[in-house]
Amino acid sequence: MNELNNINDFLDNSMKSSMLDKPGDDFTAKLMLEIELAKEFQKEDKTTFRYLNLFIIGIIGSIVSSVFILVALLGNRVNENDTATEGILSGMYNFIEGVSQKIFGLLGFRMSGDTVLYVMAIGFVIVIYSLLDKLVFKRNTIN
Amino acid sequence: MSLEIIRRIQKGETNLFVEVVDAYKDKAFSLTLKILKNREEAEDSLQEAFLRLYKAIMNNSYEAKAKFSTYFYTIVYNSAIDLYRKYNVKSFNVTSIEINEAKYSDGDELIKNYESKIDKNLYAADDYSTEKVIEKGEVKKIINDYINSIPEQYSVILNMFFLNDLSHEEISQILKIPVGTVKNRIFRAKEKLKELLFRTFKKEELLDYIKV
Repeated sequence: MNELNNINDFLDNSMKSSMLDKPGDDFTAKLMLEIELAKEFQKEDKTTFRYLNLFIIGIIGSIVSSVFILVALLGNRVNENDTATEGILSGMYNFIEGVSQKIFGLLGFRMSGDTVLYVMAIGFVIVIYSLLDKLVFKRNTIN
Repeated sequence: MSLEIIRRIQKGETNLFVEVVDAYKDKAFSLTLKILKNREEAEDSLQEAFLRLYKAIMNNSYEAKAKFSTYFYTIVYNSAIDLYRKYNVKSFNVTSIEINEAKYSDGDELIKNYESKIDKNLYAADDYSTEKVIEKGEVKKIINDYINSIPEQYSVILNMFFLNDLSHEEISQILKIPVGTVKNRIFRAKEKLKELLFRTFKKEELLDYIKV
């Protein structure tokens, strides 16, 4: 039994040693260089994305504020006394309403102009939220 | 590898990662070499594996994993398989153990073919005798030849078990095969080697050799 154990131990050790191989001497140095480079690229990407994010946030911000201002103004257009502004707004309102009615008509819906604007506003908020989530709050892989 | 070391690497102690690399690189390289059979590709694959590990440590995705060795060797194995698939026009014919599982229902067919090949070569050899003094390196050569010629379904598992000290369960988890298959292959491979040695040398000769 003891002899068999000796043979088993010998085989285990022999198999272990016969399987061992080594990579090149510069393996660790090359790997660490690759890691440093990856970190460097990550830093550069971070800076680029920071500016890109600011740019996107700026554009999105202006779109959002424009939409909300439009919704607010068009929603109150009946009370407006300024005829010039009312003319422009009414034109825009009629244009948006006309296009939207056609699109929704094709899809089989009937909506008023105000509803279309509210739907557009909600759509914008959803798009903006997903964009912000993806671009601004995204976690980076290498610090 | 302890959680403490991981935390310190995350805080920027890169030299600790160098220590991790130095501790695992030889054994892990032996495994990738066994799979890819090309030193350059094995090194590339291992570099990729360590890079993936580093990223996993830095973005905290490693901590959820229970055991470091299982996590690390899964990365090592998958990196090697990815590289193999990228260049699968080469003559390497096994690697993906799960693919061959389907081909050889329990892997037995393959080892039986291999065993009969060994038997044929052994009995045909002129130096087959029952009484002799084992020459230095003779046993080692037989073991080396055996390890180098055994089918990949066996050699990868043997490498993980004997060299990389992974448990049956860990190997089963990494290769996605049943624990029973892992145990069976280790047992059969070892028994066959023993049989091979006993056919070449007497038990006493072998024991004398081991004592020396």
